[in-house]
Amino acid sequence: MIRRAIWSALTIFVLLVHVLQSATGTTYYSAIKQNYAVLGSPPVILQSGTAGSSTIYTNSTGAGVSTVAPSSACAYNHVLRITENHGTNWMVRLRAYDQSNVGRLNNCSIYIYDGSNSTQVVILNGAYNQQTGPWYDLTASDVEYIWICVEASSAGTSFVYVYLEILVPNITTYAQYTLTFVIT
Amino acid sequence: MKNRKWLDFVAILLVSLLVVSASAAIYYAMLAQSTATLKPAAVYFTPGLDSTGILTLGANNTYVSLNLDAYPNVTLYYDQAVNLTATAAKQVRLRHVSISPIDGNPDVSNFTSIVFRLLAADGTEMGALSYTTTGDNWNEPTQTNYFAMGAGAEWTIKVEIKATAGGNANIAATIVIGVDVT
Repeated sequence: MIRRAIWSALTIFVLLVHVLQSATGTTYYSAIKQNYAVLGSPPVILQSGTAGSSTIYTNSTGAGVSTVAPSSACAYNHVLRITENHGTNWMVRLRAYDQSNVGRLNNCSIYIYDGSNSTQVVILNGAYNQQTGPWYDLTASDVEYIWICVEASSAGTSFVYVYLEILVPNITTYAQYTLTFVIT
Repeated sequence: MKNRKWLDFVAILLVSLLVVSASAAIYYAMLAQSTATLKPAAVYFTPGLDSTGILTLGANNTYVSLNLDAYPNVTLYYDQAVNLTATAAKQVRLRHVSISPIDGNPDVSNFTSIVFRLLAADGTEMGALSYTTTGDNWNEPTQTNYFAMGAGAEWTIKVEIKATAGGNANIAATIVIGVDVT
């Protein structure tokens, strides 16, 4: 008899909790955001330069560059070519985001060049002197070049991982290409 | 005698039915009168720095459509794809609603990831909906937590899109997300 009463009380309690829970349901609304993402041709095309050894990845939006560093007298090498591909104006810069075994590099300076140099990334005596370059104008159909000057104190292989960032002028939309510099 | 008993029984039955009918009709009603007043949404979409040319705002700024680009093997960032503006203190969250092409469609494999980040005014990331792919299937998020948004605050939704190295031109993905406000 007592057991039945307990069960009855429990049942009533559960039902009551359920009813109360329903009664305290929150009021909310949803604003809807619909997004269409469409794959298009890249804004900038990468091509091999005249020095070193370059591997251009599928769709020309990434590259691996191998170059040899002398032990003295920094060697300047034109390793990549950047070609504007949309017929519009952009701004570009380089930003180093990772590295390995750079302690052996007396100098590793990476420039964007189009008649005048824009110094973008600098490693001096194994440490960053400049990790992010200033924005540089890339006008419609423009061609720019990436040069690298390297000098190493010892034998070995160093890696410098760099983003080529391509900014739409006056706003904050930008694309990021991945470049890998391998220095032996 | 037998008929008398029968008649008594019928009489009692009729009286019982009358009592039941009468007692069943006893009730009362409580009235809830509701007045629905159209008010502007306390949290609504507003253009961000990167909205030019990509944003279509719906009526009352409670619907928005974004046309986003994607490039193969490139991560494309829209730091301020669209903003959220609050006129009263509210809780907001991002919630996945739908995505197409659906799982199993080979077009899905052209994308690597599409991420929507909810950023407070100072740039602090409050939460994110991250869509990634495995082969021809999406790995869909569900929703973020609710976050308190103060009256007068303007937050932004940042979008990051990455396509695969061999991504084909003109492949499109449509993602619908809800911004729940409570």
